[in-house]
Amino acid sequence: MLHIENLSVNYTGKTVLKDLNLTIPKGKITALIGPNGCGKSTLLKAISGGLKSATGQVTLAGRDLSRLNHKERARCLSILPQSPITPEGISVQQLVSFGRNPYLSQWGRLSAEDDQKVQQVIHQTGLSELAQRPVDTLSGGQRQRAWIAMILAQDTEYILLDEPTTYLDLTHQIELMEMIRQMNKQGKTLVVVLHDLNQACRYCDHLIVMRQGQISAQDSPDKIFNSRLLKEVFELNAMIINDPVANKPMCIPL
Amino acid sequence: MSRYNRILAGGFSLLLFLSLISLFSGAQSLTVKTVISTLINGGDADFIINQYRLPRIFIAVLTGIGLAVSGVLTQGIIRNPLASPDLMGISGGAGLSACTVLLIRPDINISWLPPAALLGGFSAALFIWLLNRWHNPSPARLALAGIAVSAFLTSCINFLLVLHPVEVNSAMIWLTGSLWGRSWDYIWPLLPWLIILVPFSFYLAWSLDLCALGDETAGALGVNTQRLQIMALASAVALASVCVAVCGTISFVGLLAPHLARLLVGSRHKLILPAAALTGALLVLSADTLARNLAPPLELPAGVLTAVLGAPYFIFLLHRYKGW
Amino acid sequence: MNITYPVRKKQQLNTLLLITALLSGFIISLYTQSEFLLQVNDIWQILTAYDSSDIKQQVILSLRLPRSLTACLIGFNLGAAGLLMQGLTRNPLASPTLFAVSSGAACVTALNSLTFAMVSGLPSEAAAFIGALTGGLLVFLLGGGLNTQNNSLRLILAGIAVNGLLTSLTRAALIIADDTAYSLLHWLSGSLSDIDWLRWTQLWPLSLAALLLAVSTCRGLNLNALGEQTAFSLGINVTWLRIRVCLAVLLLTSISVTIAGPIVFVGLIAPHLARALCGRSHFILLPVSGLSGAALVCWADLLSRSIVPPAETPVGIITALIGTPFFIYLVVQGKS
Repeated sequence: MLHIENLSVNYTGKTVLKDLNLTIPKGKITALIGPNGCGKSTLLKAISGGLKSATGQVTLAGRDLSRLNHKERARCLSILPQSPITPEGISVQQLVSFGRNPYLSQWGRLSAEDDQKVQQVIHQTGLSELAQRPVDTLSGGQRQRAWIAMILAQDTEYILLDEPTTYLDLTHQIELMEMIRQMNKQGKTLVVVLHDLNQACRYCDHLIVMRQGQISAQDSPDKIFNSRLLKEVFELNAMIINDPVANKPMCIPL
Repeated sequence: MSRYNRILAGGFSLLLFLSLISLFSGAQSLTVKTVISTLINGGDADFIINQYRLPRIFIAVLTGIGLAVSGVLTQGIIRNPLASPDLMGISGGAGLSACTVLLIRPDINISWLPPAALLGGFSAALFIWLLNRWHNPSPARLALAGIAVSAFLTSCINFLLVLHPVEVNSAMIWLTGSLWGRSWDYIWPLLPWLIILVPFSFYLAWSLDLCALGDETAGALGVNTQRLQIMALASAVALASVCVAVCGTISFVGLLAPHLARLLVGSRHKLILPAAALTGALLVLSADTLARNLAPPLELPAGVLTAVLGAPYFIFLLHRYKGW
Repeated sequence: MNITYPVRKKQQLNTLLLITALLSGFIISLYTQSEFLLQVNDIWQILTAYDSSDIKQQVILSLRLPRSLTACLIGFNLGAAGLLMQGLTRNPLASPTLFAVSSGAACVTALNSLTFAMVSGLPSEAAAFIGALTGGLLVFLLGGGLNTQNNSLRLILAGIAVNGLLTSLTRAALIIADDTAYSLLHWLSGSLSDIDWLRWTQLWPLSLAALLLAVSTCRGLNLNALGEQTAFSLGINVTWLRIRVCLAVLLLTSISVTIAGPIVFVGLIAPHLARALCGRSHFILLPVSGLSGAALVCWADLLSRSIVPPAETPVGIITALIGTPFFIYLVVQGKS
C-alpha cells in the first residue's frame, strides 16, 4: 500500500497542495483526474519524492520513502514525466537499459541478468524491430512505448505516469491504455494522470478526483462518477450513461 | 576492430603525427637528424627542442584534454548545446584571477596559479548558478548571460593589462589564450589535477547518460541529480580553471570538442569522453603549431586560431538549435 | 497618418537634467587631469579675455576642446545608431556592438594596416565602412534575420560569435602588422587619446549627414514599432525604410570607429536610458538617445583619464565595464 499523509506543497508562497491524505490501493490502476492546474502533476511528483518543497509523509509498505536513498527508492517506485526529454542519438535499447540504473553500480555496467531483462521488456512492448533505432527518429506512439519500456525495465511495483496519452492520436491512446492494463495484470500498481474522463472510467479501478489542490472524491468509478461530481469539480453540465461496451459509467457533456 | 576503436586509433595517430610536425617546424626548421640526436644526446638544438617545443606540445595536449573534458561535463549537466566553460564565464573568471595574481606578484611561484584560477572559476560559476536560481532563464538566455559575464571579465582583464603594461605576447595569453613561452615548469601544476579529474569524469559518465533524459526522469531512475550536478560542475570548473591558469582562455575548445566527439561516436558519455579528449588535444596542438608557423618569427595567440574555427561552428549550432 | 505623442513636463525636465549632465561632463573634461593645472577660470578667460600667447588657453583650445567635442559627437552617433537598430529590429538587445558592426569596422581597419591584405591602401573611413557593413550583414544573415519569425536571442548570439571571430582576426592582424606596439591594444579597446582638430573636421560633416538621414527615418520607425505588417498597411515602404536605417547606422558607427576604435555598449545603453526618460516617439528619442550617448562617452572619457593618471585607460574598457552588467540585466529580466 502507498499511503500519503498530510502532504502539502507550496510554490513561492502559493499553496498548490494542501494537507492531502490518501491511499493508493495495491494492484489496481488508479486514475488522477481534475481540471487544469488542480495539482495532479504536482501530486505525482510529490509522491515520487522529486519535490523539495513537499512536506508530509509518503509511506510505501510501511517504509518512509523520503528515508530511502535514491536508488532504493527507484527500485520501488518509478515515474514517467509528462514530457520527458528525448536525447539525440540514443537508441531504444540504450534508453531501455537506462531503466536498469537502480540495480547498477556507479560505472553502469549491465550484468547478463540486466541484459536479459532489457531484451524481455523490449520484446514485451513490441519494440524488437526498433531496438537499434535512435529514439528521436521514432513516431510519437513508438516513442511513448519506448519510454514505457524503460519504466518496465526499472521493474518497480509502483508506476506513476503523468498524462501518458497526451500528444497521441486515439489509436495510440487506446494502445497505451491496453498496455497499462497488461502491466496491471502482471501485478504492477499504476497511478495515471488522465485528461479523458471516459478513458479513466473505462480502464481504471480507482479514481482520485482533485480540485484546487484538494481531493474532492476517491473511490471506484461506479460509485463516485456522477453528474453532481462533474458539475462540482469541472463546472461541466453532463449526463452520465452506462458505457455499453465496458459496462462503466461514461459522461456526455450537455 | 570496432568503428569506435578505429576512430580512437585514427585520432591518436593523427595526434602523434601532429606532435612530430610541431616538433620539427617553427621559426627555425630542423632536420630529422638534429631532432633525433637532440632528443637522445642533447646538443646545439637542445634549447629549441627540449626546452621550448617539447614542453609546449605536452602542455597543448594536456590543456586540450582538460578543456574538452570540462566541456563534456558542462554540456552533459546543463543539456544546452551552447554551454561550455568559456561561454559560461568560467574561463573568464579563472583567467582574471590568475592574471591578477601574476600582475600583482610577478615573481610568484607558478604552482600558485591553479589555486588562484580555481577561486576565480568557482566564483564565476557561482554567479551564473545564482543567476539561474533567481531568474530561472531559458537555456538560450542563460547562455547569453554567461557570454555577457565572460565579456565583462575579459574587459576586466583588459583593464588590468592597461594598468600594468606587459609585453604584448603575455598580454595575449590572458586575452585570447596562447602557449607562448610555456616551459616544463608549467606542466607540474597542471598534471595532478588532470590525473585526478579525468578518471573521475569517467566515473560520472553513466549518470550523465541518464541525465540526458531530464532531471525528473534521471531522478526517477535513482540518480541523485543534485549531487551529480555538483560533482560534475565542480570537476568541470576545476579542469577549465587549471587549464586557463597555464595558458589563458583558449576559447571554443570546450564547446567544439564535445560536439565533434558526439558527431563521431554518438551520445554515450563513456565513449564521448575519450574521443572529446583526443579532439581537444588535436585542436589545441594544431592551433599552437599553426600559430607558431603562420608568420614566423612572430607568434599568433593559439586562442585566435581556435576562435576562427570555433565561432563559425557556434553559428552552425545556433542554426540547428531548436530550444528557443 | 502620423502618431502624436504628448510631450510631458517630466520629459522636458529629464532632458534638461541630461543636458546638464552632459555640459558639466564636457566642461570638467576640458580642464581636469592636466599637467598645466588648468582651472574653470581658464575656460572663462578664453571666452572673455582671449589671449593667444597664454599657454593654458592654448592647451584647452588645441588639445582639450577637440577631444571633448569628439567624445560627445561620437557618443551622440553611437547612441543614435543604437536607437535606430533597436527601432528597426524591435529588439531591445540590438546595438552596434552586439551586431558586430563596431568590431567589423575595427577588423577591416586593422587588416588595412597589413601590406599584403586585399583591402590595404584604402582610406581608413572606407575600410571601416566596408567592415561595418560586412560585420552587420554577416550577423543579420547568419542569425536568421531574414526569417519571418526572427528570433532576437538567436540574432544576438550570432552577433556575439561573429564578434568573437572578428576580434580574433583583428588581434592577429595587429600582431602581424606590428609586433611591438602595445598601443594597438589601446586602439582595439577604443581610445580618444590622440584626437586633434584634424580628426574633428573629419568627423563632423559625415556625422551631420548621417544624423539628418537618421531623422528622416523617425516617422517610419514610429510605425515600425507596431510590426512590419502594420507599418506596411499604414503605407510605409518597409524595405526603403530598412535601407535608410541601415545606411545611417553604418555611417554613424563606421566614422566613430575610424576615429576612436570600437567604443562598446554605448549604443546599447543610450536608447534604454532615452526610453526610460522620454517615452516612445523616435523624434524625441533620437536626440535624447544621442545626448545620453554623448554624456556617457564624455564621462567615461573623463573617468578613463582619472583612474590612473597620467596613464590613460582606453575609454572602451570603461564603457564595457559599465555596459556588460547592464547587458546581463537586460538579458536576464527579459521575457523569453
